[in-house]
Amino acid sequence: MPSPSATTRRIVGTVGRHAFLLGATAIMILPVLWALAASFKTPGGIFDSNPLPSPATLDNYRVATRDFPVWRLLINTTVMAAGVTLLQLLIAVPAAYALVRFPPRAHRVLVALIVITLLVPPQSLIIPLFLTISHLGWRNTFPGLILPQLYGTGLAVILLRDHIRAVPSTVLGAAVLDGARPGEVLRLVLLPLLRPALGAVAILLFITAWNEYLWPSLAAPDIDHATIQPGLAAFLTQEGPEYGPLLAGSMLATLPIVAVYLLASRRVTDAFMHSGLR
Amino acid sequence: MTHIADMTTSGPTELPTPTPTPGRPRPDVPDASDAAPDGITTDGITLAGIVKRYGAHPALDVPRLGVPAGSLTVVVGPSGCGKSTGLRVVAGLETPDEGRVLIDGTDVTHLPPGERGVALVFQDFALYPHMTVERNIDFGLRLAARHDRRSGPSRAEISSRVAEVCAMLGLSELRRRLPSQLSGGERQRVGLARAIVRRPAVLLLDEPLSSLDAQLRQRARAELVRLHRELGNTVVLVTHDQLEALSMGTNLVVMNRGRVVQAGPPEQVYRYPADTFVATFLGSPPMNLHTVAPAGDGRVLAGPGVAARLPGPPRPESGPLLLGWRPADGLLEPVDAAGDGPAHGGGGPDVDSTAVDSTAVAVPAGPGVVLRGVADVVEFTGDGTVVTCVSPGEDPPWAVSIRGRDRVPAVGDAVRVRVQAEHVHLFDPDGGLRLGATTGRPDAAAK
Repeated sequence: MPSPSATTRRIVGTVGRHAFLLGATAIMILPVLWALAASFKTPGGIFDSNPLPSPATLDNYRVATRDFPVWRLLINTTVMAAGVTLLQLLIAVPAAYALVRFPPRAHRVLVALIVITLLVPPQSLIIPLFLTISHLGWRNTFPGLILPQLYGTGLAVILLRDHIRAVPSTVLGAAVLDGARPGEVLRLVLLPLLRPALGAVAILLFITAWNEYLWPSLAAPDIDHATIQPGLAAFLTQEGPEYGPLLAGSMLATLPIVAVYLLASRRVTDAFMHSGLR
Repeated sequence: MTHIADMTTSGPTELPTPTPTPGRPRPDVPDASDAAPDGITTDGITLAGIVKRYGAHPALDVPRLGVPAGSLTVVVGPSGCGKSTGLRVVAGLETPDEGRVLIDGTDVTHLPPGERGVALVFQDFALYPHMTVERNIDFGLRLAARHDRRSGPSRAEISSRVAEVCAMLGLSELRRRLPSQLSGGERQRVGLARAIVRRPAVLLLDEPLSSLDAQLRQRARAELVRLHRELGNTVVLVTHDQLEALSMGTNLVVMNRGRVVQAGPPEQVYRYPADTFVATFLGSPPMNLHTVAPAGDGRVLAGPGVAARLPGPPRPESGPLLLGWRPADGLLEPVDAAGDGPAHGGGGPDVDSTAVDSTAVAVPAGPGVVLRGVADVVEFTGDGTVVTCVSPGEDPPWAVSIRGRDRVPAVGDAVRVRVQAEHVHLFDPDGGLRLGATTGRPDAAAK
């Protein structure tokens, strides 16, 4: 039986912890809520003190979708993010599978080399990549948008490596003894076992690609191939920023991510937990 | 019967003598099995000069080992002795650094595992977790059908073979289940079914019983033996359990530190262990070993608490020897006040007068060994009792098994044990190699 003072201390501790966590959550979520509220406000009311959109309006969304090709941008972004994700997985799965098979010392060296590719700041690659796609005539094309973003595939390799290592080697050995060729072991045994992991990694890669700003703004400034993140910058006009439509567009830009999250929230959490990022 | 090629890296081993003739020296004979002169048998599995290293340390070093076709060969040894590595080399999951693997006379060293006619049941069964029992079992057959549409199995053949195997192993009701919905015993049977549905010439089992609970083990052991009888193919089973090793196989291979120490029928290996490792590894409780020195005319060996009279010619050694006997071969004798044993069938009263010195034991008149000690630990095992005794002096404790309802000494009682001469084993104290039970010289003439 704990003494009263011990009980009090425990209650105080619990309350304190919860207060801290609630505060931290508020810091994270308030800007989002403010943006959501502001996207429904009239132009004059954006900066007023009322946190709720009291004369609520859909004008901002109307402007964003009618006067501005938001749907076009969202489709472009989806194509780009999906393409980047698929190609990264297509490369990373066989790479990680092969990586696991190396003897321990070679394995460590290769992992170190792959991690080094992740340590190169993407900004430092922008100029050579830009020159390359310009020479290839790939500006304002999906290949020009997608292929250079594969420099981050190393992350997917590292993430998948851990999952592949968790598959018992005896199961793969059993498939080999059953007469499966290497490709069949991969396709018929390993991939089905990796499906949850692949889902999580795919979501992580998709969100990362979706939020990419710098490269799409350089590689595809043309509206036909522009993506949503740089596209939103178009609301920052010479007459000053149009906050209402900008925030409305931002809300629309997060919708796909929110949808993915609602469909597979646990996998998203897992993906970020295991990636050790963000 | 083709005999396993003798792999004993040590010197002499012995012929399988049916029962040692009392009073007559049972000779040690160097390898004289009826295998081909060079040790190669064309059927079954042959390992020739196989070496597998991990780093600089050889995990497997087998100059020559034959596994007779149709045998149930049990490979036993402590963990890390190379037995599983050997199995994986035969299966093709590991490539040996040197040497060749032959299956039924064909060199398969460089064939992929799927083309060797070999199936392996893994210790963890290694079922495909995402496939039903049925899909697990027919996976190999469906691959074969896909790889070779003309001579591969037809769909009808696959389903009839799967049904047959399921019926054989009592899996028919479970065909639609996933491995996660099965018990340990059921998983083991699925692993077996998956292995035998492809009708392999060689079936390899890597500790197939170790992940089953004790109750299931006994039954699974009998099922495996029955299965081997029905299939009639070559089965190699790896285990670290000496009881499985002795009870299941028609052929036993004992390994230690990457080498084959002894190979042969289980009874032979058990009765005539090639060295002290085999002697103490097989059998529970393990063989007792005593350091003894020749005394008198060379027919008498004595150590603290032990005295032995050997039949036959005197031992040539002058230095110490290791004397071994199995706990079950010891017969408890009543200890009278004088410490003098009773008249014994072959012996008669001890010749020497009772020693006053507590460490000396009267040498028996007839061939045999007499031990004296004090009961230290008494363990009831159900169908018997194991008494661990300590002799005066430096010798390690020794154990004697008492069967059934025989009288059991209490802790602290003086104990006197007699072992018949034909149950005595002698070993070289340096290498631990067998010296022969009662005579010093290998004698081929006794064949």
